[in-house]
Amino acid sequence: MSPLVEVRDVHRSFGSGPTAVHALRGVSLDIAPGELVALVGRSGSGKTTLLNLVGGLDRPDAGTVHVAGTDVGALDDDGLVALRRDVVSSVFQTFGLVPVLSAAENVGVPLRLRRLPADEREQRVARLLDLVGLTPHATQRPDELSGGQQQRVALARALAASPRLLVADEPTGQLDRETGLAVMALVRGIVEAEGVTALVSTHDPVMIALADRAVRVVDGRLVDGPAGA
Amino acid sequence: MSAGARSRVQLRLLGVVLVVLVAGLTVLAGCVLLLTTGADRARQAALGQAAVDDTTVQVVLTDLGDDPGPAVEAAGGALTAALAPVAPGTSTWLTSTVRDVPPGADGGRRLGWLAGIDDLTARADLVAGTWPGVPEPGAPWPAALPVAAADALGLAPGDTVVLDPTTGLADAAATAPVTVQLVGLVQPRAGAWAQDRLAGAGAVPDLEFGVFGGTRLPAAGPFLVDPATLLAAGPGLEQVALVAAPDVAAASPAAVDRITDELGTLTRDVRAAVSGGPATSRVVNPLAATLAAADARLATGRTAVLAAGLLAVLLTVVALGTAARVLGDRRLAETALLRARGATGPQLARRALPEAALLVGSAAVLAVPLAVVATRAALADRLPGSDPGPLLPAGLLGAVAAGVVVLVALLAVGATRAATPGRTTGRGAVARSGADLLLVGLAVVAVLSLGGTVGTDPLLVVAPALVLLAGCALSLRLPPRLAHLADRRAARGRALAPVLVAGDLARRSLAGGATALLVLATAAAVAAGGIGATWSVSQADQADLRVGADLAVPAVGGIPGPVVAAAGGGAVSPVVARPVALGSLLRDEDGDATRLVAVDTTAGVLRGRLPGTDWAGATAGLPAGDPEQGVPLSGGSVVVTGTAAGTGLTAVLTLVLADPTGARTTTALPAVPLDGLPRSVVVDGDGTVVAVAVDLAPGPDDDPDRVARVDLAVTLPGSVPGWVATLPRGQQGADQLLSGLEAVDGGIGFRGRLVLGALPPTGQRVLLTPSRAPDAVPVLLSAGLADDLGADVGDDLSMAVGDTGVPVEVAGVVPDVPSVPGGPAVLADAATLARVLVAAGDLDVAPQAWWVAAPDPGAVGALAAAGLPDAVTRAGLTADLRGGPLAVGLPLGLALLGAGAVLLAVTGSVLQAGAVRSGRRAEVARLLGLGVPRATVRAVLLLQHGIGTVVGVLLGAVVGVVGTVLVGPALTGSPVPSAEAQFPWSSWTALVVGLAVLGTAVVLPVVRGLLRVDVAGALREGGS
Repeated sequence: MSPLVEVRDVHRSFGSGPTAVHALRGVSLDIAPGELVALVGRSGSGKTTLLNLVGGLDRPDAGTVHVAGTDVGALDDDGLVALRRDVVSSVFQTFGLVPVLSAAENVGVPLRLRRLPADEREQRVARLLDLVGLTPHATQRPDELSGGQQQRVALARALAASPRLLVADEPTGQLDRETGLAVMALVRGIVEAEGVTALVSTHDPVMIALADRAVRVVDGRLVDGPAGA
Repeated sequence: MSAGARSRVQLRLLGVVLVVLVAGLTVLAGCVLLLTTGADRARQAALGQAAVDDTTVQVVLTDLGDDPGPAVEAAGGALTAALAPVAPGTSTWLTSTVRDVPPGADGGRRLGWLAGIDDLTARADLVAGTWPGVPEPGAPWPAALPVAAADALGLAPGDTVVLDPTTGLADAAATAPVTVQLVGLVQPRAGAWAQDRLAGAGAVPDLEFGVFGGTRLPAAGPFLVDPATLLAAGPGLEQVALVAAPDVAAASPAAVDRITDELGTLTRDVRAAVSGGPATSRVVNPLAATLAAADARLATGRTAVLAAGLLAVLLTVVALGTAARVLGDRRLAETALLRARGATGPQLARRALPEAALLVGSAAVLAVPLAVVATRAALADRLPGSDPGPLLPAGLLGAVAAGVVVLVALLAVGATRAATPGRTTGRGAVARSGADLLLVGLAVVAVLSLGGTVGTDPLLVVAPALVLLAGCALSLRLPPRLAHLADRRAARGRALAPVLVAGDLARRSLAGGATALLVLATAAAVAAGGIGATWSVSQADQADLRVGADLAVPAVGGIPGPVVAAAGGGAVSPVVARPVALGSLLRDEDGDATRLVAVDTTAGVLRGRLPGTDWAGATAGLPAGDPEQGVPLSGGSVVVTGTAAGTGLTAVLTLVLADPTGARTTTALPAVPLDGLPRSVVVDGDGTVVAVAVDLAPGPDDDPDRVARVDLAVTLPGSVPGWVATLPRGQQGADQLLSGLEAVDGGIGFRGRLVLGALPPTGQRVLLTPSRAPDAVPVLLSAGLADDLGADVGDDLSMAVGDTGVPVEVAGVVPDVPSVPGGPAVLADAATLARVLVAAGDLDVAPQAWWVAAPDPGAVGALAAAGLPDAVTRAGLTADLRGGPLAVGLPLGLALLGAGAVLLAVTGSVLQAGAVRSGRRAEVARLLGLGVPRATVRAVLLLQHGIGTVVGVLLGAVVGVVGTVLVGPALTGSPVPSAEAQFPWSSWTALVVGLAVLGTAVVLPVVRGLLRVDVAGALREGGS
């Protein structure tokens, strides 16, 4: 089976000259379909940069990133948008919910992008909210939800369009331990239940333990194994 | 972050705040300048343009007794005291009673009089000889005469004349003859002899003389002598006129104010001053009337400027509140941190104070010079030559200082308070509190109380702001409701953009303040335009009604209609404009006499607003009977053949001639004996003969017991159908005096039997006309007159025109009769009136004025050249009313408000766009990160801002239109006719479209910038 994600010798720098920051230095990584990969490393090690490249939010300076056979670096803006809409869903560290929309409406955003009929959309939104345990909070807006609830809404939204790849950047980073555990369990459950491939950056040993494998990033390079995360 | 560093980072937003402050303070300062130096300059310019006669004050003393000196001195003192703030420029004009001068060559009696003028050299030019001086004891008084008087009396310098007390006057016995020696001849200067008995004409052939003016004699004068000598002579002084012509245009505003106050009590003061003597005083005070009229018009402007200033302040406060709120949002994190560390609201406000003070102070430093330069430029354009006054009047500094304090406090407090994020209910805080309904209630009360308000009425000042504020508050209930409807509809749809747009409009609380500003500013700008248009049209309405026609000119000098028509161009109508008594009413409650205005109602000359109809329609029923078919007569002669066998009866024929304009003149023919012989009489005059009056007079030897059969025929050139012969209507017993009166067949003439013994000395008049005159004159009554009389359409009334009673029938009621705004008046068709007057034996229907429709562009000059110098056009009067000095306040105040409101409306949009820029970066990144196409995000952002802007502008426009209707007419202060709200749709449309486009366009660069967001970076940052 060919990997869903193929990262080959990717370099990414920010800035130029002596102050340039080399976020990734020749990273290569394959992720098989249905695999949950934990990306671990210290802050500033390059985890988010790698997630952004895989998630189609950024382009590499050198090397290639293929997602579902598509060369992300070769895509134009519209292509990246299409990639994010149809293939990859992201769960942002800061949740990224639209503040004026309710929880249900936030979950329904990807479905509206696909212009799903309202009935179908509402059914799927209801199922996802049920999946993340937020049915009672469907009509509440983000500022009326707790951090954990917002993260679960973000997860439900990420899954709404049935993505092939779920990219989550420290989904439990801003949550208390109990809520974090619940969210991590949810991600694991979703990967198994929906057959989704997931790349999750985390510092949390529990999350790492729940992953199929862990990849460690140190100074922009990948190092095998979870140890020392 | 230090306050300075923070300010530098938020420089753009602070720049917007500065613009708000500068705009608000500039309008405020501009209004204050209009109210202070502007009003002073306007009054000064108006006084400078006023006619000399309108700025004089005259104290006239009569019944002076034997020693008039003390009374004259006391009255002069009172007059001088009243005008003390300026040089009063007083002159004394003493006039003696009429005296007999030696008879002329024909031996006829002639009259003259003495006058003493203390500033004679300023009122006349010496033509020959010397100025009259103080007489030597016992010698004749040196005197000067106007050239015309000397010519009339046949006198030359060096001649000596004795002026005897005139017989028949009560004080003649106490008056000594005065011998004068002519030492000089003078030429009176035009316009400087208003106090003269003959206004400087020098001589007249028929001076009215006697107790009731019943005697007319040739008169010439005055004999100008040393005034002190005339005053000291005592008896024989008829009146002393103390004439002051203060140069009020050059006086300071304070001095004019004081004079205004003093003149209010001048009559009482003069009366008190002369109360010790026998003199009777009378004050003729055109200056007081001029000042009062100026103050009344300035008060209208003042009210409008105050209202505009109040609205500007309100707008500035709302704008600043919105700006401060955006600023507060931008500093939300910092404020939250400080609050978390225990900072209280007052502490935060104090911390923000230096920045607020710096901003407001900077704005004031910019705004004051801006306002000074702008208002000076505008006033210099409209009030050329007026004194600009102090650069920074105290009122300006005070108002700006007060504004600065308020704005600093507002900004300091506002900038520490952010918009409360969270769910909105669709009703703003104002609506939730019910304050909008309270405002509406207050506005309704204010509008209902506006009726009859005049001058600077506080209610009128507050009402516009109250109405617009209430309308704004009430209208803001609408957008959330619409947005919620749209939100619900969008929620059921498939697409993402509608739900994002509607959701934002329905739920984001931040937009409230900016929308309120946009609505209020648009409403103010629209109302300023609407009220300005209402005022402008009302000035034209007033001019229309005051002039009555496109052009009106007094009929003087007997200039005939064709000459007027040739000079004026267009349709010309003669106008009979006279005081009349209608029914039992001579004057209305205000003391105004009822005016008769009779015009050719078919000429289409009438102007003035008429609700629901036009003058052609309103006057359609005024011409009564068939058109009169006269007989054209161009010079030549008529043949009169009369028979009254055995008598010495004579007939004096008076032809009534109508010229092509319908103006009537009379031509009296020489007496014709009724001896059966045809008499050819040369007629001096052209026109169409429309009536012939025949006055039958007895011969000296006629037997009074005899009844004579009288036949009279008048032969005019050409074929003449049979005319009718009538006796004057209303003449009691005329049908017995001249019985069996009948017209001759197929011509002009009559026959009848005349009782010679009953014939009065003035004879008996028979009227020959082409047809029988209508029984009554259909008239239109002014509404006030109809109310006073209790008259209704169809009522029959009696109208006294001079000594002639004219039956009239009320054909309709109009608000006002052209040329008589607000006064009791009767409008009639001139031809119909003339026919009825002729039927009553009254041939005097000469016009008092000419009205012209659609005159030629150079008509005024052509008429002046033709001897009619006082033509007034409604276009000219409209221009005067709109552009005159006293009209400067209202249009400039509204212009200031309009400009400020537009600027603040756009600023509101900029603030809203600024809020979008600062608040939507993360949101845009989230949407892009979720795979929402950039085009969709762009559309969402533009629609969110654009719909808010368009809805706000449209709501503001509606509120502005409503405001125009509710307060516009009252604010224009137009007396008669009352102003009607105007709807300048084209300029309103341009304004609304401009604001909507501009308000939407300001977000374009913001959206462009947002779409270039670093999605990954922004997502990582999370918040804004």
